Amino acid sequence: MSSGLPRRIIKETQRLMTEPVSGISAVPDEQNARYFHVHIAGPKDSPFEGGNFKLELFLPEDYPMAAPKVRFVTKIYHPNIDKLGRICLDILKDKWSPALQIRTVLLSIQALLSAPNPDDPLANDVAEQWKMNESKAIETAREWTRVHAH
Amino acid sequence: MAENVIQSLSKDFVHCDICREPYNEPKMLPCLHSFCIQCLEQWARNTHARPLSCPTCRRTVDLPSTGVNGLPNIFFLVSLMERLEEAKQISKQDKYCNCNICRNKIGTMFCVDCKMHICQDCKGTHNQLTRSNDHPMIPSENLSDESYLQEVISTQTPYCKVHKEEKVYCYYTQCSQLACQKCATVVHQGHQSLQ
Ligand SMILES: [Zn+2]
Ligand SMILES: [Zn+2]
Ligand SMILES: [Zn+2]
Ligand SMILES: [Zn+2]
Ligand SMILES: [Zn+2]
Ligand SMILES: [Zn+2]
Repeated sequence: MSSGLPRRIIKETQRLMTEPVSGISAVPDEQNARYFHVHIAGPKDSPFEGGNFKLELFLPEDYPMAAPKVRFVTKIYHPNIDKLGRICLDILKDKWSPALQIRTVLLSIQALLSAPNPDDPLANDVAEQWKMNESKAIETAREWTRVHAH
Repeated sequence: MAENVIQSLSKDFVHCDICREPYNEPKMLPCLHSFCIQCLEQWARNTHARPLSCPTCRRTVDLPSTGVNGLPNIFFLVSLMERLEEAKQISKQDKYCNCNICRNKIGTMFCVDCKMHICQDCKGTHNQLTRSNDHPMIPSENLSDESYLQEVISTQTPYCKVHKEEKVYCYYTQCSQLACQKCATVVHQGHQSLQ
């Protein structure tokens, strides 16, 4: 079990450091190489623009056969992210595949910020608001970004 | 030129998508994606409750009665090389262009299948026009990131050379050609194939 870090994780980590994705940083914890401190910049033209969102990502023992566990630490107003920061994203659940990587997971989360999907909600009240009055929801999301995400 | 292709191939593509190492005894799935035999066996064990799906494209795999071992060995890299080139071509485009549908807003995403810039408002129109919502969309800001494009494009089934709308569905071992449903019935009748 404690046979050190699989080569794939080492390689992924190296690549994240040497070829970072624009708007995303992922740094392994000094104590635990399976735990990453992640920051995602709110995408341009989204209500999250200008925000800097902190997330945590953990690679379970059976990664990459099982999906990483990812959660927003920064509060965010988004129909697919709940109060606890849990993310409704199929690839983190039943659509996980070992061909996906930390990098692709984070890119998908970044894309989710660009394109909230209130039809597949995790935070139901937010999704309601998003469907009832989109401009108000976007305004709230902007407000939360200003207050919490810096 | 050839050397460059081979270099980038060996750097990014001649590896197993699961372990990210150069292939070790690769086996090919019916969808034409290949993995090391051990990696596939591990994934098969891990998903024992569900039908086995291809890690790259997620198609369900009917394993032969002999299991992973009975899958064919890999014997070509042609379609990977083509996709590598496709990713390169796309990454040379301007990131932000007018939406190809409404022509008056700036596109925020790019459809890899249609090769179109699409704005937020026209995404629904695109899905209606193509009667599909599974075209791979790339956020415009990532358009110049070639390795990201390679990752996205390599998970797509390639299109047929002759019938540009049709996805390839089998490989003819006898004449070493990829074919879609249409050419399969016309050109390759009776030839040996892998679905
Ligand atoms: Zn492998
Ligand atoms: Zn596949
Ligand atoms: Zn448009
Ligand atoms: Zn399309
Ligand atoms: Zn065809
Ligand atoms: Zn033939």
